[in-house]
Order: sequence, then structure tokens, then C-alpha cells
Amino acid sequence: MKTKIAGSRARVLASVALAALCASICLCGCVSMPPPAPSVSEGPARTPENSSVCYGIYGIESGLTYIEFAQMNTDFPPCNMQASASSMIWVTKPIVAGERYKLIKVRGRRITAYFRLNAASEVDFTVPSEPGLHYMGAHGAYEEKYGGQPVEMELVSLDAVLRMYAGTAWAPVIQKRIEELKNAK
Amino acid sequence: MRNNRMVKIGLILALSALCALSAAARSPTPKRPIGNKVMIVGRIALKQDIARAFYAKSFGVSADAADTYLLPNKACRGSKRLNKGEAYTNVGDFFFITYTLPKDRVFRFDGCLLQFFGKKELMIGVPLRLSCPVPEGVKYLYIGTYVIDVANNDFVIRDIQARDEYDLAKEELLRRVGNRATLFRSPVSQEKDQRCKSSFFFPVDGTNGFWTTID
Repeated sequence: MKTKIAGSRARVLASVALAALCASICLCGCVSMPPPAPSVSEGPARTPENSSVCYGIYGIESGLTYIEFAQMNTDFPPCNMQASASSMIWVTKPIVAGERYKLIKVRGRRITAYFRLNAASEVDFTVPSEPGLHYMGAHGAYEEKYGGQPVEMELVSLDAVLRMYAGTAWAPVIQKRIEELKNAK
Repeated sequence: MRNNRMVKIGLILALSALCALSAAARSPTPKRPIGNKVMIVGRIALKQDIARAFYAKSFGVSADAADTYLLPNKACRGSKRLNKGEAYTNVGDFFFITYTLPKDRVFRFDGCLLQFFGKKELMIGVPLRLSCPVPEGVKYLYIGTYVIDVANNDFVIRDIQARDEYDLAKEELLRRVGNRATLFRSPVSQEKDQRCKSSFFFPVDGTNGFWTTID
């Protein structure tokens, strides 16, 4: 599938609007969407013991302003998830093991990219069976802003996760993970 | 009071006229092809529906929206630049589209884009890779019905089955263009090894938009 911007394997549809202009204007992270509070899920409260928070980096020109996933596993309830997105970092609400999320749309300040339904994107993921925090890696054109080691990129992501989950039962888990990574460096 | 009533009646009439114009724009009467043009008749259908209620919620769209498909406006690896208000064909309905034949009078056709819930961000490419010789004088060509088997969990196309629905297609064509049409049925072969190169341009706003291909 012809694309203007793409992940290495994902077939991405992208707007060609002002692409050259956008490339020269680095707005990444200048203005960020305030991360939404974790939404209240139906059923029992989703805690670090029974659910997962997934997060990662997706690079798109002039910063990631919007990222949307669709829950594709019909054994679980449907879910259209607009994950928190800012400075190329995306963070999910608490989700449960076995749910399969497909990347549907990402938006930068000037470009929107669509992902063909029948082509797997490298950002698509299934929630791992182990509850807790899961870093899903860095994809897209992220090198210019986050060209460091994977550990450093996860640490940067965790800052955003912590801001989003400050004051919740997730905060100590996130702090612990940050400490682990810092000690591992 | 009287003036208000007249204004209301005027508004209703204007809205009715707009609705009528809009309906007419969506279903134009096919014109008889001239020169080396030929009208292609066929149908794209889904073998089974997707889990519609589930995916409507997961995609954040209305479950009532119809699935649609879109054909390139040039046969043989053509391109399709969409215009505002472009007419799409509902999945399951016959399509009638006029193409200019190449000099060898072999009609080649890459396939189409199928859009679930009619949304451009929920599309799959349907590679057909058809090839069909068209004798001189043929103006209406039936290329078959293609039933797409889409996996309900990942939207991957598992199979595309060709069906012969000539009688149904002929009936539909005659209903549209009248008895002057003779629908020709030619042997259609599929070039499964070739990659489809037809492309589609979707405008987003003004001059901006994006291209996509079938394969």
C-alpha cells in the first residue's frame, strides 16, 4: 500500500498534506494534550493486580497528538480506545489480558495516518497474561526525538505514565519500574 | 404570519430540491458507452458479515452504516482521484462502470477497495487481477460476482470466490439502461501472480489527501 509515512513493516496510509513543510518544523512536544484520567471500566476495578497498562512510543511528524486502537478479540467486550498521546508517547487505560488492540489511526499536528485493516501493524498488540506495566516499544519515525537506548526510551515513557496515573494504585508500581530501570542502567 | 409561512414553505421546497438533487447525484443513469469504451458489470459481496455490532463499537462507528466498495476509474492499473460526493457502491450491490479498453481489447482489472462501515480508515484492498478479452462491438461486459471471505478476527481475506450471476446482472442492467443493452459474458481469468498497482486518492481537505493501493 502506498504511503507517505510508514512504519517499517506496517502498511500505513498517510496524508501528503504539507509533508515537506512539516518535516522542517519540529513541534514535537511543544504543546501536549493533557493526559486523560483513566476511564472507569465496567466490572471490578482494574488494578495492577488484575489488569495491565501498556505504553510505547510512536513517532509522527511534529509530535503525536492522537492515537486510536480498536479491541479486536471478539471473546472480550468491544472497545474503541483513544489512548493518551503526547510527545510521541502513548499510554493506555488499564486493559485486561487477552484483549487484542489494533492501531487504527494516528495523528500528528498536520498528518493523519490510517492503517489498512487487513495489514498487521507493528504497533498492534495483545495484552500479555501477566498483569502490570508493559512497554510495547518504539515505532514510526521516533529516532530524531528519542534516539537513545531502549531503557532510556522506556524511562521517558514511564514519566508520562506516572503523570497520567499519579495518585492511583498504579503510581507505586510505576515508581518501582522506574527504579528498576535506573538501577539497571 | 403569512410571510413566515411562505418562508417556511420556501425552505421546505428548497430542502426537497436539494434532497432530490443529492439522490440523483448518487444514482446516475448509466450512459451507453461509445467508441472503444465498455461498461463493466459485476458485483462484490461478502461471504459472511463481520461481527457488526462488536466492531462498530470497537471502531467507534455507527453499526447502521453500510459497507461500501470503490473501483478505480481506469482499467488495468488505473488510478482513481475521488471527488467530493463520490458515489460508492454498497457491498452486495451490482456496479456499473465504464472503462476505455486498451488496443488489444483485453480488459484487465486490478480490483477494488472495500470500506467497512463506509469509512476510509476501515478499508481493505480486494485484489481481483481479472483479465478478459472483449470482442469488437461489445458495449456491456459481465465480469462476474466476487464473494470475499474475510476473517472475522483480523480482516484478512481468506478466499475470493467467483460466481456466475449473469441472469441477475442482465436484469439489473436492463432495468437501468433499457432493452437496448446486450450484456456480453466473456471468459474471465485471474492473474494471481501479479501485484495490483491501481491507486486511489482520498482528499482530506482542499488539495490535501492520501494515496492508497489495493495490494
